[in-house]
Amino acid sequence: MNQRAHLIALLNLEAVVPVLRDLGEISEEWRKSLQGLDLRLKIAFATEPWQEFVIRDGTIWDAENASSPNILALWFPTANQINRAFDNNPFAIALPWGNVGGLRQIPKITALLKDLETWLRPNEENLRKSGHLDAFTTITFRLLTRGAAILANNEDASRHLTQHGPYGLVLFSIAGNTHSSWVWLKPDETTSGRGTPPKTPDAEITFANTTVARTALLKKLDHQAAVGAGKIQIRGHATLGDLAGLVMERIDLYLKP
Amino acid sequence: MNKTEHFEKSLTLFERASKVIPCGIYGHVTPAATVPGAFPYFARRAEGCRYWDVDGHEYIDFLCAYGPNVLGYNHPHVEEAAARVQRDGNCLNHPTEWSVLLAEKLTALVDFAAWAVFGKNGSDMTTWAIQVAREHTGRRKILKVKGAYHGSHPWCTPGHGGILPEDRAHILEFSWNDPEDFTRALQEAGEDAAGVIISSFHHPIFGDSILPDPAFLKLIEESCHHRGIVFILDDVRSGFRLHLGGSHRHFGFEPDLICFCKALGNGHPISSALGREELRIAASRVFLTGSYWNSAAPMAASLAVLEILEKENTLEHMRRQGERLFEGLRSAAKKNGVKIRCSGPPALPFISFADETNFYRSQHFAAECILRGVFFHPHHNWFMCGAHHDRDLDHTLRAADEAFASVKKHFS
Repeated sequence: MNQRAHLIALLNLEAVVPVLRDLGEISEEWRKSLQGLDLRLKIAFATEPWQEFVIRDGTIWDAENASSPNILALWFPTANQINRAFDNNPFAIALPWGNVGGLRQIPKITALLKDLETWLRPNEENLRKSGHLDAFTTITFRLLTRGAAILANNEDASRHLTQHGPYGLVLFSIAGNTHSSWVWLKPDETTSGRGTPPKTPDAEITFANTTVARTALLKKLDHQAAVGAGKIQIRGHATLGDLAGLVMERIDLYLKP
Repeated sequence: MNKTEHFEKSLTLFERASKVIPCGIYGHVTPAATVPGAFPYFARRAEGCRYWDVDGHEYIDFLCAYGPNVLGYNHPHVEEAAARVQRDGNCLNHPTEWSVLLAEKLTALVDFAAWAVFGKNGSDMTTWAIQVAREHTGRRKILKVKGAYHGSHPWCTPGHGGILPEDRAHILEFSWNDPEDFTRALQEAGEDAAGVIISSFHHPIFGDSILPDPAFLKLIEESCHHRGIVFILDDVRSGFRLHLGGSHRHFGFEPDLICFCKALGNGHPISSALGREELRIAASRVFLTGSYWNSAAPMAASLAVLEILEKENTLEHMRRQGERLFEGLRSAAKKNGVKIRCSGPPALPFISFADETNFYRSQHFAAECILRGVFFHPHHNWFMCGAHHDRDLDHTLRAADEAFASVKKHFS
């Protein structure tokens, strides 16, 4: 199997797909677009484990926290096929299966996944809409922390970067925004998550506001100058934050920013 | 007064700096490495063991400009020696007699050294030293300790920007004080091992200092000797603080090459590498130069520094004051119900908070000390100097007592 294609597919499946749920947590507008959907949505490629969510009552739940009688599974036989789908090519290449109630909701899910693109790669006009900039920065940080864990566990260059440590949990947040995300660099398996971390962070990186965070995401921020000026606050093990940032930056090598 | 007001001039200057200098302040002195917003960013002047920031706050300094200040800032004899030579001409078409005098002095001090060369920074010397090792052996691999700092050149910089995998293609790493890992790295290098470079003790940033296990040093020394590998001591940080003849004398081992900087000039820009007679030819074949590397004034300053260190037994003074600092900090911490770890030799002390890996307490402690006029770096080993007197330590320990109380209150 092509290692690069497999890595991109993992990023799509395990870092991008959960943005569906992230948006459900943070955007009223997105929640409105979920109205009328009631299903357990499963997505996977090749032999990778399914990403599963339950969409009902205008929100998206992690599968273990809710249920639905309707099932729709979208299975991509190869890494290349899921990658093409998430690179904005026609979605039809997934093999759908499920029960009648689930299959009936394919058109709505297709539209929802298409809409995801406008949230992940918004144009300036979209970002001016109320709540969109906040949502964009939040979902991007969540995507990046999940992506960092995927790369640290699966990519040679990231493993090389992280092999000697330091290890620890890095929490990323934006002041005034409660939707934080974290990555926990460990010698055996790096993990990531959102919200309250499972342990006291070893480094906390807090952006003063959404604009600073977005500038950083666009790689147009002099980080050290921003830290000195208080636009980014770092508490704890700063070099650990740098290391997490280095791995996160590598995601651009695989996914279109 | 809040911290922004407290450091108003520092912050204003930083804002201006950020417009015309990448990072505003870059390298090891970046505010990002301390406690941004709670530490001064710009210094104005210094005297003895004290310095003043641009906002006019005075600090008893336990960082000593990250090491160079070994006798006290602005030491009159050193400054006079440098100024006298400066008046004659500093950067000329030729080296001056001062280079010969300094090389003679250094080779007399360092037991194994037959020759000396000069540069400006520690990196100049460590990088040149590994080239000499390669030239001497005709081999490529350099073994270094994981997490050790040997400068800012591509083979060793802790930064990542602009570095190619090829820059590190022949650098192998092993863990400090780990004989098995050293043996593994040595085996990996095989017949291609040119040099081993170590500091005399391990002093990683964001970590406790770790003294060497004598058996570990012995293993490196013997392995290098038996295999014809050049053993390099990076004494840039510890040089002239642990032993006048080099830190290997303090810890009892014998390298082939030694690199000095920091304390050598007491603030004047100079570094030096010294080596065994057997390495003279290799040293002569590795090109070494820089626009200001033959400057006379720093060499004259160095000679004055060495003379004072010897005459005033400054190393013993630093050891004694460092021990007093350790003792006082332990006692103040205990009094306030705070657990700390003291590490490193007394002349280069460091403390961290027990059972803490995220440095939150260290950062709080250092920020509280700053407000009380004492400069402790929260993540980097400290330095004692000849100008740390009892009254300075008295003030420091009172400040530390209050800072520990604040840590206890804040983290309870």
